[in-house]
Amino acid sequence: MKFVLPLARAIDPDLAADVEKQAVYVSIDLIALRVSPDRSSVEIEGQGDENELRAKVETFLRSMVSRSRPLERKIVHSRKRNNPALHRAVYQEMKKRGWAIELGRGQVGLTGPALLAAQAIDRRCAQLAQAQFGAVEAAYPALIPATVLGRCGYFHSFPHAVSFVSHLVEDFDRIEEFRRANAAGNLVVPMGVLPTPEACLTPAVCYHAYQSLEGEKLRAGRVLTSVGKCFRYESKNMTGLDRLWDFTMREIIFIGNETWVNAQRQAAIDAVRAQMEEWDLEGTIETANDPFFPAAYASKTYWQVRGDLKFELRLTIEPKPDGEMRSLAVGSFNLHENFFGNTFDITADDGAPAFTGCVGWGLERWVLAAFTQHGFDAADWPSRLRSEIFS
Amino acid sequence: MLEAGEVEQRVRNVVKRVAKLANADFSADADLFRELGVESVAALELLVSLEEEFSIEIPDAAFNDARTVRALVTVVEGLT
Repeated sequence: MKFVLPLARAIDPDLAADVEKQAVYVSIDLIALRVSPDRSSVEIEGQGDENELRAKVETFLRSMVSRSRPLERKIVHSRKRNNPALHRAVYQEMKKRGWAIELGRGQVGLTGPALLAAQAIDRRCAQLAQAQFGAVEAAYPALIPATVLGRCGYFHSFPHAVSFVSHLVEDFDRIEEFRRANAAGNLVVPMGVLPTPEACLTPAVCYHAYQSLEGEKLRAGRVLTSVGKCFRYESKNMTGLDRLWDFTMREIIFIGNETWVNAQRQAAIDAVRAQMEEWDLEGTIETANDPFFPAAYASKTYWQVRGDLKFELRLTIEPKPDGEMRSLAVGSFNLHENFFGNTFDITADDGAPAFTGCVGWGLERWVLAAFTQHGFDAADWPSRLRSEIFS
Repeated sequence: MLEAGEVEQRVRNVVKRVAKLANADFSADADLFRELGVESVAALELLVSLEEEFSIEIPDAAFNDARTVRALVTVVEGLT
Protein backbone atom coordinates (compact mmCIF):
# COMPACT_ATOMS: atom_id res chain seq x y z
CA MET A 1 0.00 0.00 0.00
CA LYS A 2 1.02 3.66 -0.42
CA PHE A 3 -0.08 6.78 1.44
CA VAL A 4 1.08 10.34 2.11
CA LEU A 5 1.32 12.07 5.47
CA PRO A 6 1.71 15.84 5.69
CA LEU A 7 4.35 17.32 8.00
CA ALA A 8 3.49 20.10 10.42
CA ARG A 9 5.92 22.33 8.52
CA ALA A 10 8.45 22.08 5.71
CA ILE A 11 11.64 20.69 7.21
CA ASP A 12 15.26 21.49 6.42
CA PRO A 13 17.35 19.17 4.20
CA ASP A 14 19.46 17.76 7.07
CA LEU A 15 16.39 16.74 9.03
CA ALA A 16 14.78 15.31 5.89
CA ALA A 17 17.85 13.12 5.31
CA ASP A 18 17.78 11.91 8.92
CA VAL A 19 14.03 11.18 8.72
CA GLU A 20 14.57 8.98 5.67
CA LYS A 21 17.57 7.24 7.25
CA GLN A 22 15.91 6.56 10.61
CA ALA A 23 12.65 5.39 9.05
CA VAL A 24 14.08 1.87 8.74
CA TYR A 25 13.40 1.42 12.47
CA VAL A 26 9.69 2.32 12.28
CA SER A 27 8.34 -1.09 11.32
CA ILE A 28 9.31 -4.18 9.35
CA ASP A 29 6.17 -3.46 7.32
CA LEU A 30 7.57 -0.14 6.13
CA ILE A 31 9.11 -0.71 2.72
CA ALA A 32 10.14 2.87 1.98
CA LEU A 33 9.64 6.36 3.36
CA ARG A 34 10.55 9.33 1.20
CA VAL A 35 10.34 13.00 2.09
CA SER A 36 8.63 14.94 -0.70
CA PRO A 37 10.77 17.28 -2.85
CA ASP A 38 9.35 20.34 -1.06
CA ARG A 39 9.96 18.56 2.27
CA SER A 40 6.43 19.23 3.52
CA SER A 41 5.14 15.65 3.51
CA VAL A 42 6.31 12.05 3.46
CA GLU A 43 5.34 9.32 1.02
CA ILE A 44 5.07 5.88 2.55
CA GLU A 45 5.15 2.51 0.87
CA GLY A 46 4.29 -0.37 3.12
CA GLN A 47 2.59 -3.70 3.64
CA GLY A 48 0.37 -5.30 6.28
CA ASP A 49 -2.14 -3.37 8.37
CA GLU A 50 -2.28 0.21 7.05
CA ASN A 51 -3.77 1.74 10.20
CA GLU A 52 -1.10 0.18 12.36
CA LEU A 53 1.68 1.33 10.03
CA ARG A 54 0.18 4.81 9.75
CA ALA A 55 0.09 5.12 13.56
CA LYS A 56 3.74 4.05 13.85
CA VAL A 57 4.85 6.51 11.18
CA GLU A 58 2.90 9.32 12.85
CA THR A 59 4.54 8.57 16.19
CA PHE A 60 7.95 8.46 14.50
CA LEU A 61 7.37 11.79 12.75
CA ARG A 62 6.12 13.41 15.95
CA SER A 63 9.36 12.38 17.64
CA MET A 64 11.67 13.39 14.83
CA VAL A 65 10.00 16.50 13.49
CA SER A 66 7.67 18.25 15.91
CA ARG A 67 10.33 19.17 18.48
CA SER A 68 13.19 19.64 16.03
CA ARG A 69 14.27 23.18 15.26
CA PRO A 70 16.17 24.50 12.26
CA LEU A 71 19.78 24.72 13.36
CA GLU A 72 22.63 26.67 11.90
CA ARG A 73 25.21 24.33 10.37
CA LYS A 74 28.76 25.48 9.80
CA ILE A 75 31.25 24.43 7.17
CA VAL A 76 34.65 24.97 8.76
CA HIS A 77 36.68 23.69 5.82
CA SER A 78 36.01 22.92 2.19
CA ARG A 79 38.39 21.49 -0.38
CA LYS A 80 37.99 20.92 -4.13
CA ARG A 81 40.12 18.79 -6.43
CA ASN A 82 41.61 19.88 -9.72
CA ASN A 83 40.05 16.84 -11.34
CA PRO A 84 36.44 16.72 -10.13
CA ALA A 85 35.55 13.54 -12.06
CA LEU A 86 34.01 10.82 -9.88
CA HIS A 87 34.05 7.10 -10.57
CA ARG A 88 30.75 5.23 -10.51
CA ALA A 89 29.75 1.87 -9.05
CA VAL A 90 33.00 1.72 -7.11
CA TYR A 91 31.87 -0.89 -4.60
CA GLN A 92 30.62 -3.14 -7.40
CA GLU A 93 33.96 -2.76 -9.17
CA MET A 94 35.82 -3.64 -5.97
CA LYS A 95 33.72 -6.78 -5.62
CA LYS A 96 34.36 -7.67 -9.26
CA ARG A 97 38.09 -7.36 -8.73
CA GLY A 98 37.90 -9.42 -5.54
CA TRP A 99 39.10 -6.50 -3.38
CA ALA A 100 35.81 -6.40 -1.46
CA ILE A 101 34.24 -9.66 -0.38
CA GLU A 102 30.61 -9.59 0.76
CA LEU A 103 30.28 -12.13 3.55
CA GLY A 104 26.96 -11.19 5.13
CA ARG A 105 24.65 -8.28 5.68
CA GLY A 106 26.88 -5.32 6.53
CA GLN A 107 29.87 -7.66 6.66
CA VAL A 108 32.53 -7.07 4.04
CA GLY A 109 36.12 -8.27 3.85
CA LEU A 110 38.84 -6.28 2.08
CA THR A 111 41.96 -7.40 0.28
CA GLY A 112 44.35 -6.10 -2.36
CA PRO A 113 44.61 -2.34 -2.91
CA ALA A 114 41.37 -1.72 -0.97
CA LEU A 115 42.93 -3.25 2.12
CA LEU A 116 46.25 -1.50 1.47
CA ALA A 117 44.43 1.84 1.27
CA ALA A 118 42.70 1.14 4.60
CA GLN A 119 46.04 0.28 6.16
CA ALA A 120 47.68 3.35 4.65
CA ILE A 121 45.21 5.79 6.18
CA ASP A 122 45.28 3.95 9.49
CA ARG A 123 49.09 4.10 9.55
CA ARG A 124 48.97 7.83 9.01
CA CYS A 125 46.39 8.31 11.74
CA ALA A 126 48.42 6.25 14.20
CA GLN A 127 51.53 8.26 13.34
CA LEU A 128 49.59 11.50 13.74
CA ALA A 129 48.28 10.36 17.11
CA GLN A 130 51.73 9.54 18.42
CA ALA A 131 53.85 12.24 16.78
CA GLN A 132 51.56 15.22 17.23
CA PHE A 133 49.47 14.31 20.24
CA GLY A 134 51.78 11.95 22.14
CA ALA A 135 49.07 9.30 22.20
CA VAL A 136 49.53 5.94 23.87
CA GLU A 137 48.45 3.09 21.59
CA ALA A 138 45.94 0.70 23.14
CA ALA A 139 44.17 -2.44 21.97
CA TYR A 140 40.65 -3.07 23.23
CA PRO A 141 38.24 -6.01 22.97
CA ALA A 142 35.48 -6.10 20.40
CA LEU A 143 33.17 -6.95 23.31
CA ILE A 144 32.03 -4.41 25.84
CA PRO A 145 30.08 -5.21 29.01
CA ALA A 146 26.42 -4.30 28.51
CA THR A 147 26.48 -2.49 31.84
CA VAL A 148 29.29 -0.23 30.61
CA LEU A 149 27.48 0.56 27.37
CA GLY A 150 24.41 1.36 29.43
CA ARG A 151 26.37 3.74 31.65
CA CYS A 152 27.67 5.42 28.49
CA GLY A 153 24.06 6.27 27.61
CA TYR A 154 24.10 4.11 24.51
CA PHE A 155 20.86 2.27 25.26
CA HIS A 156 19.11 5.61 25.72
CA SER A 157 20.50 7.36 22.64
CA PHE A 158 21.11 4.52 20.15
CA PRO A 159 19.06 1.45 21.19
CA HIS A 160 18.33 0.69 17.53
CA ALA A 161 22.02 0.20 16.75
CA VAL A 162 23.03 -2.14 19.60
CA SER A 163 24.49 -5.54 18.74
CA PHE A 164 24.04 -7.91 21.66
CA VAL A 165 26.27 -10.91 22.26
CA SER A 166 24.74 -13.93 23.86
CA HIS A 167 25.49 -17.57 24.52
CA LEU A 168 23.49 -20.61 25.48
CA VAL A 169 22.37 -20.78 29.07
CA GLU A 170 24.52 -23.09 31.20
CA ASP A 171 21.97 -25.90 31.36
CA PHE A 172 22.64 -29.33 29.87
CA ASP A 173 19.02 -29.91 28.83
CA ARG A 174 18.73 -26.55 27.11
CA ILE A 175 22.03 -26.95 25.28
CA GLU A 176 20.98 -30.42 24.17
CA GLU A 177 17.62 -29.02 23.03
CA PHE A 178 19.51 -26.43 20.95
CA ARG A 179 21.86 -29.07 19.55
CA ARG A 180 18.99 -31.28 18.40
CA ALA A 181 17.03 -28.35 16.97
CA ASN A 182 20.06 -27.33 14.93
CA ALA A 183 21.04 -30.76 13.64
CA ALA A 184 20.27 -29.67 10.08
CA GLY A 185 22.60 -26.67 10.30
CA ASN A 186 20.04 -23.89 10.02
CA LEU A 187 19.96 -21.73 13.13
CA VAL A 188 16.96 -22.42 15.34
CA VAL A 189 16.79 -20.73 18.75
CA PRO A 190 14.32 -22.51 21.06
CA MET A 191 12.63 -20.31 23.67
CA GLY A 192 14.58 -19.89 26.88
CA VAL A 193 18.00 -21.04 25.71
CA LEU A 194 19.49 -17.52 25.65
CA PRO A 195 20.09 -15.58 28.87
CA THR A 196 19.96 -11.78 29.06
CA PRO A 197 23.05 -10.63 27.15
CA GLU A 198 25.99 -9.80 29.36
CA ALA A 199 28.01 -8.20 26.59
CA CYS A 200 27.60 -6.22 23.41
CA LEU A 201 29.78 -5.70 20.38
CA THR A 202 31.29 -2.30 20.90
CA PRO A 203 29.88 0.46 18.70
CA ALA A 204 32.95 2.69 19.15
CA VAL A 205 36.54 2.40 20.27
CA CYS A 206 36.52 5.19 22.82
CA TYR A 207 34.09 3.77 25.40
CA HIS A 208 36.75 1.33 26.56
CA ALA A 209 39.20 4.20 26.94
CA TYR A 210 36.95 6.09 29.36
CA GLN A 211 36.18 2.93 31.30
CA SER A 212 39.91 2.18 31.57
CA LEU A 213 40.42 5.49 33.40
CA GLU A 214 37.60 5.00 35.90
CA GLY A 215 38.32 6.69 39.22
CA GLU A 216 41.57 8.31 38.06
CA LYS A 217 42.74 11.78 38.96
CA LEU A 218 44.74 13.02 35.99
CA ARG A 219 47.77 15.24 36.49
CA ALA A 220 47.68 16.27 32.82
CA GLY A 221 45.64 15.63 29.72
CA ARG A 222 45.70 12.04 28.54
CA VAL A 223 45.69 10.92 24.89
CA LEU A 224 44.97 7.37 23.77
CA THR A 225 44.68 5.91 20.30
CA SER A 226 43.33 2.61 19.12
CA VAL A 227 42.03 0.91 16.02
CA GLY A 228 39.31 -1.65 16.32
CA LYS A 229 36.22 -3.28 14.96
CA CYS A 230 33.00 -1.45 15.71
CA PHE A 231 29.44 -2.65 15.27
CA ARG A 232 26.29 -0.68 14.58
CA TYR A 233 23.16 -2.35 13.29
CA GLU A 234 21.69 -0.19 10.54
CA SER A 235 18.91 -2.40 9.17
CA LYS A 236 18.02 -1.81 5.51
CA ASN A 237 20.56 1.01 5.27
CA MET A 238 23.40 -1.55 5.17
CA THR A 239 23.94 -1.81 1.45
CA GLY A 240 27.66 -1.48 0.85
CA LEU A 241 30.99 -0.18 2.13
CA ASP A 242 29.37 3.12 3.08
CA ARG A 243 27.21 1.58 5.81
CA LEU A 244 28.47 -1.61 7.43
CA TRP A 245 27.31 -3.46 10.51
CA ASP A 246 30.92 -4.46 11.21
CA PHE A 247 33.45 -1.75 10.38
CA THR A 248 36.91 -0.57 11.39
CA MET A 249 37.57 2.67 13.20
CA ARG A 250 40.77 4.42 14.25
CA GLU A 251 40.26 6.84 17.09
CA ILE A 252 42.31 9.37 19.01
CA ILE A 253 40.81 10.02 22.43
CA PHE A 254 41.44 13.08 24.60
CA ILE A 255 40.71 13.22 28.32
CA GLY A 256 41.51 16.34 30.34
CA ASN A 257 40.28 19.77 31.25
CA GLU A 258 37.78 21.59 29.06
CA THR A 259 40.17 24.10 27.48
CA TRP A 260 42.77 21.49 26.71
CA VAL A 261 40.33 19.01 25.16
CA ASN A 262 38.79 21.71 22.98
CA ALA A 263 42.25 22.72 21.75
CA GLN A 264 43.18 19.11 20.94
CA ARG A 265 40.05 18.68 18.87
CA GLN A 266 40.82 21.83 16.91
CA ALA A 267 44.38 20.62 16.33
CA ALA A 268 42.97 17.33 15.04
CA ILE A 269 40.70 19.17 12.62
CA ASP A 270 43.73 21.06 11.30
CA ALA A 271 45.66 17.80 10.94
CA VAL A 272 42.86 16.20 8.95
CA ARG A 273 42.82 19.18 6.61
CA ALA A 274 46.44 18.25 5.84
CA GLN A 275 45.37 14.63 5.25
CA MET A 276 42.84 15.83 2.69
CA GLU A 277 45.70 17.61 0.90
CA GLU A 278 48.01 14.60 1.01
CA TRP A 279 45.30 12.29 -0.32
CA ASP A 280 43.98 14.96 -2.70
CA LEU A 281 40.41 14.47 -1.55
CA GLU A 282 37.39 16.67 -2.11
CA GLY A 283 35.10 17.29 0.80
CA THR A 284 34.10 19.41 3.74
CA ILE A 285 34.44 19.52 7.49
CA GLU A 286 31.09 20.60 8.85
CA THR A 287 28.63 20.56 11.72
CA ALA A 288 26.96 17.19 12.26
CA ASN A 289 24.82 15.21 14.64
CA ASP A 290 24.74 11.56 15.58
CA PRO A 291 21.93 9.27 14.35
CA PHE A 292 20.04 9.33 17.63
CA PHE A 293 16.95 7.17 18.08
CA PRO A 294 13.90 9.23 17.09
CA ALA A 295 12.61 9.58 20.65
CA ALA A 296 15.90 11.21 21.69
CA TYR A 297 16.67 12.84 18.36
CA ALA A 298 15.43 16.40 18.80
CA SER A 299 16.93 17.17 22.18
CA LYS A 300 20.26 15.44 21.53
CA THR A 301 20.67 16.96 18.10
CA TYR A 302 19.89 20.42 19.47
CA TRP A 303 22.50 19.85 22.18
CA GLN A 304 25.16 18.67 19.75
CA VAL A 305 24.67 21.27 17.05
CA ARG A 306 24.08 24.21 19.37
CA GLY A 307 27.29 23.45 21.24
CA ASP A 308 29.43 22.70 18.15
CA LEU A 309 30.04 19.32 19.75
CA LYS A 310 30.34 17.34 16.53
CA PHE A 311 31.95 18.00 13.18
CA GLU A 312 32.30 15.48 10.39
CA LEU A 313 34.74 15.11 7.54
CA ARG A 314 32.48 14.44 4.57
CA LEU A 315 34.08 13.31 1.32
CA THR A 316 32.39 13.53 -2.05
CA ILE A 317 31.17 10.22 -3.46
CA GLU A 318 29.24 9.31 -6.56
CA PRO A 319 26.01 11.24 -7.04
CA LYS A 320 22.56 9.73 -6.74
CA PRO A 321 20.99 8.35 -9.93
CA ASP A 322 19.10 11.64 -10.33
CA GLY A 323 22.40 13.54 -10.27
CA GLU A 324 22.08 14.95 -6.75
CA MET A 325 25.53 15.35 -5.19
CA ARG A 326 26.38 13.07 -2.29
CA SER A 327 29.02 13.05 0.40
CA LEU A 328 29.95 10.44 2.96
CA ALA A 329 31.07 11.03 6.56
CA VAL A 330 34.46 9.32 6.83
CA GLY A 331 35.61 10.97 10.03
CA SER A 332 34.26 12.86 13.01
CA PHE A 333 35.53 15.26 15.66
CA ASN A 334 33.54 14.98 18.84
CA LEU A 335 33.23 16.62 22.22
CA HIS A 336 31.19 15.07 25.03
CA GLU A 337 31.50 17.85 27.61
CA ASN A 338 32.10 16.21 31.02
CA PHE A 339 29.63 13.35 30.52
CA PHE A 340 32.25 10.58 30.62
CA GLY A 341 34.24 12.35 33.34
CA ASN A 342 31.13 12.27 35.51
CA THR A 343 30.10 8.76 34.47
CA PHE A 344 33.49 7.20 35.20
CA ASP A 345 34.59 9.55 37.98
CA ILE A 346 37.63 10.83 36.06
CA THR A 347 39.05 14.05 37.45
CA ALA A 348 41.00 16.45 35.25
CA ASP A 349 44.09 18.40 36.28
CA ASP A 350 41.90 21.38 37.20
CA GLY A 351 40.12 19.31 39.83
CA ALA A 352 36.82 19.18 37.92
CA PRO A 353 35.22 16.18 36.22
CA ALA A 354 37.21 15.50 33.06
CA PHE A 355 36.03 16.66 29.69
CA THR A 356 36.53 14.29 26.80
CA GLY A 357 36.73 14.37 23.04
CA CYS A 358 37.52 11.92 20.30
CA VAL A 359 38.41 11.91 16.65
CA GLY A 360 37.47 8.90 14.55
CA TRP A 361 38.19 7.66 11.04
CA GLY A 362 35.99 5.04 9.40
CA LEU A 363 38.53 3.12 7.37
CA GLU A 364 36.19 1.32 4.95
CA ARG A 365 34.39 4.57 4.19
CA TRP A 366 37.69 6.34 3.61
CA VAL A 367 38.63 3.63 1.12
CA LEU A 368 35.32 3.92 -0.72
CA ALA A 369 35.59 7.70 -1.00
CA ALA A 370 39.24 7.62 -2.08
CA PHE A 371 38.58 5.09 -4.84
CA THR A 372 35.51 7.06 -5.92
CA GLN A 373 37.64 10.15 -6.35
CA HIS A 374 40.83 8.56 -7.76
CA GLY A 375 39.58 5.40 -9.44
CA PHE A 376 41.34 2.12 -10.11
CA ASP A 377 44.31 3.32 -12.15
CA ALA A 378 47.37 3.84 -9.95
CA ALA A 379 48.52 6.69 -12.20
CA ASP A 380 45.51 8.75 -11.11
CA TRP A 381 46.40 8.54 -7.43
CA PRO A 382 48.67 11.02 -5.61
CA SER A 383 52.23 9.90 -6.35
CA ARG A 384 53.24 9.41 -2.72
CA LEU A 385 50.40 6.93 -2.17
CA ARG A 386 50.79 4.82 -5.32
CA SER A 387 53.48 2.44 -4.13
CA GLU A 388 51.72 1.84 -0.81
CA ILE A 389 48.36 1.03 -2.32
CA PHE A 390 49.19 -0.60 -5.64
CA SER A 391 52.32 -2.56 -4.72
CA MET B 1 0.32 41.80 29.41
CA LEU B 2 1.34 39.59 32.29
CA GLU B 3 1.65 41.06 35.76
CA ALA B 4 5.07 41.98 37.13
CA GLY B 5 6.56 39.02 38.92
CA GLU B 6 4.25 36.51 37.27
CA VAL B 7 6.63 35.89 34.38
CA GLU B 8 9.55 35.33 36.72
CA GLN B 9 7.61 32.89 38.88
CA ARG B 10 6.50 30.87 35.87
CA VAL B 11 10.03 30.86 34.42
CA ARG B 12 11.33 29.69 37.79
CA ASN B 13 8.81 26.85 37.83
CA VAL B 14 9.88 25.72 34.36
CA VAL B 15 13.57 25.81 35.33
CA LYS B 16 12.81 23.94 38.54
CA ARG B 17 11.09 21.16 36.61
CA VAL B 18 13.72 20.86 33.86
CA ALA B 19 16.62 20.97 36.33
CA LYS B 20 14.77 18.63 38.71
CA LEU B 21 15.25 21.03 41.62
CA ALA B 22 13.47 20.71 44.95
CA ASN B 23 12.29 24.32 45.01
CA ALA B 24 12.24 27.47 42.92
CA ASP B 25 13.88 29.95 45.30
CA PHE B 26 17.29 30.01 43.61
CA SER B 27 19.09 33.21 42.62
CA ALA B 28 17.79 34.87 39.46
CA ASP B 29 21.41 35.45 38.45
CA ALA B 30 22.65 31.88 38.88
CA ASP B 31 23.98 30.28 35.69
CA LEU B 32 21.34 27.80 34.54
CA PHE B 33 23.82 25.24 33.26
CA ARG B 34 26.83 25.61 35.53
CA GLU B 35 25.13 26.48 38.83
CA LEU B 36 21.52 25.30 38.70
CA GLY B 37 22.23 21.96 37.10
CA VAL B 38 20.25 22.26 33.90
CA GLU B 39 21.99 19.62 31.79
CA SER B 40 23.12 21.02 28.46
CA VAL B 41 21.36 18.12 26.75
CA ALA B 42 18.11 19.41 28.31
CA ALA B 43 18.44 22.83 26.65
CA LEU B 44 15.80 22.04 24.06
CA GLU B 45 13.40 20.85 26.75
CA LEU B 46 13.90 24.15 28.59
CA LEU B 47 13.36 26.14 25.40
CA VAL B 48 10.25 24.24 24.30
CA SER B 49 8.81 24.28 27.82
CA LEU B 50 9.14 28.06 27.99
CA GLU B 51 7.53 28.41 24.57
CA GLU B 52 4.63 26.21 25.63
CA GLU B 53 4.28 27.92 29.00
CA PHE B 54 3.94 31.37 27.43
CA SER B 55 2.61 30.42 23.97
CA ILE B 56 5.49 32.20 22.26
CA GLU B 57 8.30 31.36 19.84
CA ILE B 58 11.73 32.16 21.21
CA PRO B 59 14.48 32.82 18.64
CA ASP B 60 17.46 30.51 19.12
CA ALA B 61 19.90 33.41 19.33
CA ALA B 62 17.98 35.03 22.19
CA PHE B 63 17.76 31.73 24.03
CA ASN B 64 21.45 30.97 23.52
CA ASP B 65 22.44 34.27 25.13
CA ALA B 66 20.14 33.86 28.13
CA ARG B 67 21.95 31.87 30.79
CA THR B 68 20.07 33.00 33.92
CA VAL B 69 16.46 33.21 35.06
CA ARG B 70 16.72 37.00 34.94
CA ALA B 71 17.85 36.88 31.31
CA LEU B 72 15.11 34.39 30.41
CA VAL B 73 12.51 36.66 31.99
CA THR B 74 13.76 39.55 29.86
CA VAL B 75 13.49 37.40 26.73
CA VAL B 76 9.97 36.23 27.60
CA GLU B 77 8.77 39.72 28.54
CA GLY B 78 10.02 40.99 25.19
CA LEU B 79 7.84 38.45 23.41
CA THR B 80 4.60 38.64 25.41
